[in-house]
Amino acid sequence: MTDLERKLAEALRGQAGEVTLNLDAAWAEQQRRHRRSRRRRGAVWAAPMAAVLVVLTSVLLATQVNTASAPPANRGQELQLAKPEYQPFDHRMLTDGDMAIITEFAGQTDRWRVWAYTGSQVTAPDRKLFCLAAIPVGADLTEGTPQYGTKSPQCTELRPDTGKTVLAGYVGEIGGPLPPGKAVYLVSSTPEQLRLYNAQGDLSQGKLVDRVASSYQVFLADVVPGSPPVRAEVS
Amino acid sequence: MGESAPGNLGAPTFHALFREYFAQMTRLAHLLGADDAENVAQEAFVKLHQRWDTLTDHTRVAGYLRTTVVNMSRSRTRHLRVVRRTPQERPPDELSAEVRAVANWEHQQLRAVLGRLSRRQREVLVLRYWLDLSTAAIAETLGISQGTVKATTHHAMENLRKHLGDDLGGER
Repeated sequence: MTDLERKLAEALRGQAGEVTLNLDAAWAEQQRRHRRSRRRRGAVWAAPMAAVLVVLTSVLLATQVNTASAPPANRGQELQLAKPEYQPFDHRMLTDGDMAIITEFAGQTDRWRVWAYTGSQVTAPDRKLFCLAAIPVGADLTEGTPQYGTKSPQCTELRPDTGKTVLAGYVGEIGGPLPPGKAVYLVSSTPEQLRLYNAQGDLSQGKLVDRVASSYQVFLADVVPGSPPVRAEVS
Repeated sequence: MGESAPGNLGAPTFHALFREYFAQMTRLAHLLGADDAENVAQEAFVKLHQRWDTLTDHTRVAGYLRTTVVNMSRSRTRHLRVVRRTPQERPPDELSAEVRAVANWEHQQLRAVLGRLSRRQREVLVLRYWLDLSTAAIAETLGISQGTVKATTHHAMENLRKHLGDDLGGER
């Protein structure tokens, strides 16, 4: 080591010796800076997380609002109705009272008129049936009225003794007496309104169109094709 | 706080490292011209603490600290030059009246010349003649090659001799 190098080292040591330190105070300051650093790092995460939470909360609230506006899925009573069956309108069929015109719809070649009626078979007079039949507009629903190969009339057993309010129903289908998107329900005389809900909770409001057999009310409703009503509410 | 390195029971605690190196790092920052040497050293240890859990070789902690202090001192002196806008006219290290009174004239001269050297020349001289680091350690600390360290040291000593003259034994 040259003389200059030795003097340089001494000068540097002397200059470094000017720095006096309190290690305990420095350690306390170091700990304070660690806490501050942690808070800053926390803030770096907290701000985006808070924003995400705000968005998620907004979405959740909006979802709840939408859900609240929709009818609850379990509203009304579950519809447990007998499955309609094809029942030819012939000399074996006895009708009760007047028949009601429910609606009309356009087919491929004709315009069809839908009739509703109650009755029974000659062979089973005690088994009451509620039936829907579609015949071309202008034709009479008589024993010999042609049905053109459709699945009309459709009849379902009527059981007033079960105490149900909604006694029978039929959801429209291709080839049936009602087109898809329409449904007819027979309701006991008291209710004035019929609200129908499908499995998704979508509401269909029934419209009273006529009465059959003096007291039963016939409601017609627009329904979602492929998603028939599963619950009904009357008032 | 003061935790050992994870998975290495023989590693020093952070607190022990702090007590061992804090004074040295503060003085290093002071020698490199940082006006807030203690703050530089504190921040260097904060950075070390943030990486503490990911450090795998605690024998290199001192080197990491040195590099951090050198880099932060550079930033600090660069900032001071911008703030003062008259970097060449400023004495590199303002001495207190008391220190000035006791410091000998030679050391004052050396320090004045040291302050006029380039940043890298000053760094190399401080690391070599104050910390007694090897050429390899200086190269690693500054992120330069060993050849550059040797050449820089040579030029720095030449500059010292040129500025100091024969009075301080600047002859070859």
